[in-house]
Amino acid sequence: MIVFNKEWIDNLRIVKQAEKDQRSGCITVDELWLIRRQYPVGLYTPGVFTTIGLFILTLFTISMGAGFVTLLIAGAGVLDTFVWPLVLGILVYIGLELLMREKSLFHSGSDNALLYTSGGLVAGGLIWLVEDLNGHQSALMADATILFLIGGFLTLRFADMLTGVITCLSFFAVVFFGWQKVGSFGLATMPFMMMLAAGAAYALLLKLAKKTDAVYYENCLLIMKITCLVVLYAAGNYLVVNRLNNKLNNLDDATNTSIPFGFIFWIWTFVVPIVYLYLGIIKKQTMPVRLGMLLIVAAIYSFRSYYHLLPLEVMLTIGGALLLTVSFGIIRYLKTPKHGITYQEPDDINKWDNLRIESLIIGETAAHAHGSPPADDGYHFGGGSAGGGGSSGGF
Amino acid sequence: MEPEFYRQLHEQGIISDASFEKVKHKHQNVLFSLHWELKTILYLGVTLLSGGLGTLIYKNIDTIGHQVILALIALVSASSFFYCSKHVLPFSKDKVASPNTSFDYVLLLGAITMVSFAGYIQYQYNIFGNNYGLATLFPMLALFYIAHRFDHLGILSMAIVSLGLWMGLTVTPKKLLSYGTFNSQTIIGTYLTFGVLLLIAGFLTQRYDFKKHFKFSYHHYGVHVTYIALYAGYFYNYQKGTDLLFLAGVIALTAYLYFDSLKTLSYYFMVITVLYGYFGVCCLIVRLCMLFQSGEAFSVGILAFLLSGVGLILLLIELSKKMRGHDRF
Repeated sequence: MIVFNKEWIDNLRIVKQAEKDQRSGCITVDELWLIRRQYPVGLYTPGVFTTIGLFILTLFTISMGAGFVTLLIAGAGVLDTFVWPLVLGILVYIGLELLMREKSLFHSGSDNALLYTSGGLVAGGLIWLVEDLNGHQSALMADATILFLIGGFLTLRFADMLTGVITCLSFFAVVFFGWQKVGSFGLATMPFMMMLAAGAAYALLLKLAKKTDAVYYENCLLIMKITCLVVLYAAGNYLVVNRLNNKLNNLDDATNTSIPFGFIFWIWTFVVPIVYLYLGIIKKQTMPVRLGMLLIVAAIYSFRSYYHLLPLEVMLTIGGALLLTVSFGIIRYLKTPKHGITYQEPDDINKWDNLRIESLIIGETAAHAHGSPPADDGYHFGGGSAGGGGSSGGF
Repeated sequence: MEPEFYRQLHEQGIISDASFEKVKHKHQNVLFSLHWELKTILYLGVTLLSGGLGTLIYKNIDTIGHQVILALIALVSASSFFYCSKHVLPFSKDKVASPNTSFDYVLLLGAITMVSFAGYIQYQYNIFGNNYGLATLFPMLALFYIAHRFDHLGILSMAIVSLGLWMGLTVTPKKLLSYGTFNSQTIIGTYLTFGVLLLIAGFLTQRYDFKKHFKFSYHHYGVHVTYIALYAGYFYNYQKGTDLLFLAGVIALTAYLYFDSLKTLSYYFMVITVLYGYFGVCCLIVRLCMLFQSGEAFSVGILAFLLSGVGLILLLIELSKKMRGHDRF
């Protein structure tokens, strides 16, 4: 099913592991070289910049190609029907398959661009068809089903992360619109239904991850798991539930309608991120830890959308002091590793170091704290903090 | 447990006994690292605290008074620099490692507070009157000095940005694009001068082997600014005769950067050079099509875009394969 040469992916994983071990000084450079020869990788896997460059160039070229073909047949009268995007999408897909056979691209930017355009065009064409059949009305459930099927196929074939996320989200959309059709009972129980769907999808992914072929979809499965966990959280987040409820019942956000059993959702809002964080630490997995940290921010944001206990700057000061104390405390506590957890930098050195990213961020943000061109009156004082804010965003 | 393939390699004699033992040891004692997570919280804490305190002070400025705050900022800055000058390693033309992990951050704190001090004192007391050039000149010179003496790339970036500020600009690429203030010949000229100056600085650091690792920062700003200024000049002077001069500049710059990035094996500069250079090719194609003003010319133009695009993609793939094995970036 998967388009790539499996042996090469296996070899790529081995070589990457060996590179890591070489960096941490376990094996010598010569040995790494021998391993590279023992496990050849014929896949084309460029670095991050080349990937971005190839992606942009390929998108540009595809649109030019599509434009050219469209110009050629402009008179034929197929342009204003659903057939045209469908045909274009299939053409792009054929091009993609041929290119993969010839060049063995592996998430190199070019194949991603072709994949997304062909998927988008085919899905667009089919959705157009469905709306034609439906008397020019949108049929959300059918649209979501189309996206789910196409996304699922492309994900299985190309192990792409974006199509993986789209597959997940369209699955949840199918459940959402399907349950909505049940009526007022469906609307009232929607959060629980979504929680159930997200939980079930996550369990399914865990099961799939145990299959032997799962190693080829490693990143894909990870990002899909993240999607499921985020949806699982959002389904019970008070802010999301409240706003969505208002929207579905055509209520105004400003009236601040309370939802029945609101306390359940508040508990969910705050407990779930902590559970993620806790489980991540217990199971020693980075993803849930980071996700938990991000969702705690989301929880605080949700809370502040309803209750303003303190002025913002007091909150910031207290929060900052708290975070500093906590992180200092933990760093100090972990000075010698405890329970297999450490503050030591992981030894697969951060690739981004080569880029001096940090220095550029400083240049970008600290520029505010600067000099005094007459234009930005009264801005100087906030300057320092604004710069800091930006840097953390970039981080 | 060590990965299975190591066992095989060891049996085949590819991995030595010593290395195999090390690998085994490493994979038996995997520690779960919370390094980045804790560091993020630390950063976030500093950001929130400084933001909160800054706002608090700002709101209570009447009761605290400007002198107190100025003295506070000066104190922070001076003590940071004092700490750094006590710990800094001797100056060298090459890269100097920082003596400890907190050194870089303390230095950064010192530099930022120094710049805020200069800005604040000018804003509040008008030390230099309306002579803004002078007010930005001194912090800039100081920043360049600090960047070289203490070997700090972040402060070098700040110095480059303030050089631009001194020349009357805001130069970070983001702002350059979002403000889009290219409406006069002088502005374009200044940008161009600034960009070329940085490119020359980058060239010189390499040529005379003086802080060679600073070249990346000089070139990063230099390349973007110069290209954008050249294209701005091209469009501003469109159909005025001088526009082709700017396009010629683009070609010359592209050629220089192409060979330079091949030599230094920099993927980053290779890709941005190819993209900026290709934009120039597109300008030429559009121009040629405009000469004829017909439907056929339009189709031919699109075909030319298509073919040149495919060619460029293949070129980029080949180039990156050629540079493969040296440097992932």
